[in-house]
Amino acid sequence: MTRLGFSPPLELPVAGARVPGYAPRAALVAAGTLLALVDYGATGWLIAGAALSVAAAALPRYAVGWVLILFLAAGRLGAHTGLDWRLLVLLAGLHLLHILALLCMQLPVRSWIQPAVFAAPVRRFVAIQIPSQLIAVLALLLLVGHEGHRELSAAALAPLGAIALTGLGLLLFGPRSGPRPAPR
Amino acid sequence: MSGSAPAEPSGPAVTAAATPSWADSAGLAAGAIAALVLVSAGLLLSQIDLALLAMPLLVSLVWARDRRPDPTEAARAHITLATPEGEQIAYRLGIDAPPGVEGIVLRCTLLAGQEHELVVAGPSSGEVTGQVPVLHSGPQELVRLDYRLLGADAAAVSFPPDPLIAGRVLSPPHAPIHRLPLPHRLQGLIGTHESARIGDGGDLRDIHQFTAGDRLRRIDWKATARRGRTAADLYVRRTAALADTTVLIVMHSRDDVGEQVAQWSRNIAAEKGLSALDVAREAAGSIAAGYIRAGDRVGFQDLSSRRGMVPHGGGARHLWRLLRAIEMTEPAAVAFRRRRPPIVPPGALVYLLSSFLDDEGVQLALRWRGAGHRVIAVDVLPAPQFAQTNRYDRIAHRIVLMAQRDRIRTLQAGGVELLRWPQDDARVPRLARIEQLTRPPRSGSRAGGRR
Repeated sequence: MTRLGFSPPLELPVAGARVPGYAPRAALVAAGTLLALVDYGATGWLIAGAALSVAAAALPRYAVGWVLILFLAAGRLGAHTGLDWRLLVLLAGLHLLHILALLCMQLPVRSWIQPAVFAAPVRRFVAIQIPSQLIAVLALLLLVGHEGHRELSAAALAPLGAIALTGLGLLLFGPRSGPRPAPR
Repeated sequence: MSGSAPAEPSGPAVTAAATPSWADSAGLAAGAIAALVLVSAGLLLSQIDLALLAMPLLVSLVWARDRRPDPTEAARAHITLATPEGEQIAYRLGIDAPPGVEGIVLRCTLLAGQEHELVVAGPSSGEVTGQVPVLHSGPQELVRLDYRLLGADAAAVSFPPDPLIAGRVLSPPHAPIHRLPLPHRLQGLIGTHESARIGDGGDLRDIHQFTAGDRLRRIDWKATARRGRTAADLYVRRTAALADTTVLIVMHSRDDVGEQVAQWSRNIAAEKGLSALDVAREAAGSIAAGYIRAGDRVGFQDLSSRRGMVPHGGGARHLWRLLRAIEMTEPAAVAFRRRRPPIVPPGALVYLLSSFLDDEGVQLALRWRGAGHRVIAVDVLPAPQFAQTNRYDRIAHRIVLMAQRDRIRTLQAGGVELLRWPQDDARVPRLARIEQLTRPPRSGSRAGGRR
């Protein structure tokens, strides 16, 4: 059985590992290319996005994945600020790229992976994305005027910052679900 | 491979506990930098959408950092091997990691060659089972387990601890041999072989005139009536005495090359095929069992080992001791230079099992032969297979084999007999080759090899 096959080899230890190790990398390439298409459209930048996606998947240790994230975010620079489906897709997509890049850094490409390995990251992704999307929609509705573009100032970011700080404070100092290091 | 299912892993497990050292993934810093760049760009360029894009990244990073596993808790790994049955051994391995571990990267190396990488969900890996083929005899590493632990989103990674290794000493197969060569002179006083001496127990040796010491019941009255010229002429039937023999099996385990010539330099257990030591262990075990079952005394010496000689002895318990010593032979990384050759009892038959890829065994065999012992050199080099070899490999192999044949010719010129153990020549089976050696030698007495 070859590595490119979708069935694990017969001599592999039995552990229910059915996902080939290159699957997260393939997902990274696919997600990066699709987001570049959404962000930049069918332009020359799409090729750059696809190239960065391939580089991020092939060389995960060089952190090209986060360069890709910045590249995709840069596509919003000239865009009209407002409630746009592309922004919401990008909001989820960049988060997905971040998780995939982290996973690709540590999962060996020649390995076979139990599907359950992805369960916790997916749960966290959903748990973060639902409030993030809501906050993004609210922020865009409240902070951007009906007549069009309104310049964002540091003062306008204050409510958003307060919400974010509250959330981060809760995560850092609130009740922990994970283990806490033993007192020294 | 046969279709027989291997036994369930049981018995004592190889277990190790280690407190993992944790490190942050480089992606954590990269993600934080990317998020800060986005927030800064949003502020500087007055674009809220850039700041919004950084929000899930920041939360995800903080969450992953918060869920980092406890660095003071230990992880426990275990490997359990089944009893060797058939051509495969089942194994079971598992890891119990500290809470907070979401993934375990396992690298399972079979037979010190074949690597398999698995990523299982943590903190407990559950039971990971598999089978390792039985390709060789002797002491060997069957399963080696390396692992790394992953925290939430693989943002925290543990350094791999020392590998956990499960090995076994596997018994070689034994070929039943019913007729085995004997030394030129049998010196034992009890046993099952007919010696040249006059005594009891053997077949008719001759009819001889009655002399002092002959028993009266041995008088052959018919021969006396036929041959006797006077009333004082009496003739007795004399029989041969029975005797046992002493055999010393000497194994030269310095080299362990396989039948795959392409693997001679790499020597990967899983790929080298049948090895010289596999053949040597099988030959030594079969020869020892054959002689012990016939009531003879057998000793064993591994030339490349610092362990002492297994002294000569007989009986089933001694056979177990011999077989265990033979199983435990393994190639030595460093040549063991001995000051004097192993001491061979007088009149003993010496078997020298070697691949004859160096001169050490040759010199010893010639020295023993010079001392009057019957020496049988057993060539254990398996028949070569040339898969994945290039022209240079084949030329090198031919040169090595020419030198080996020169050594064997030197041995034969010195009176050492040769037995090739691997079953590579279909025209003359192994048992027939042994049978040829049991014929009485031209220079010896009648105690040549009847069993």
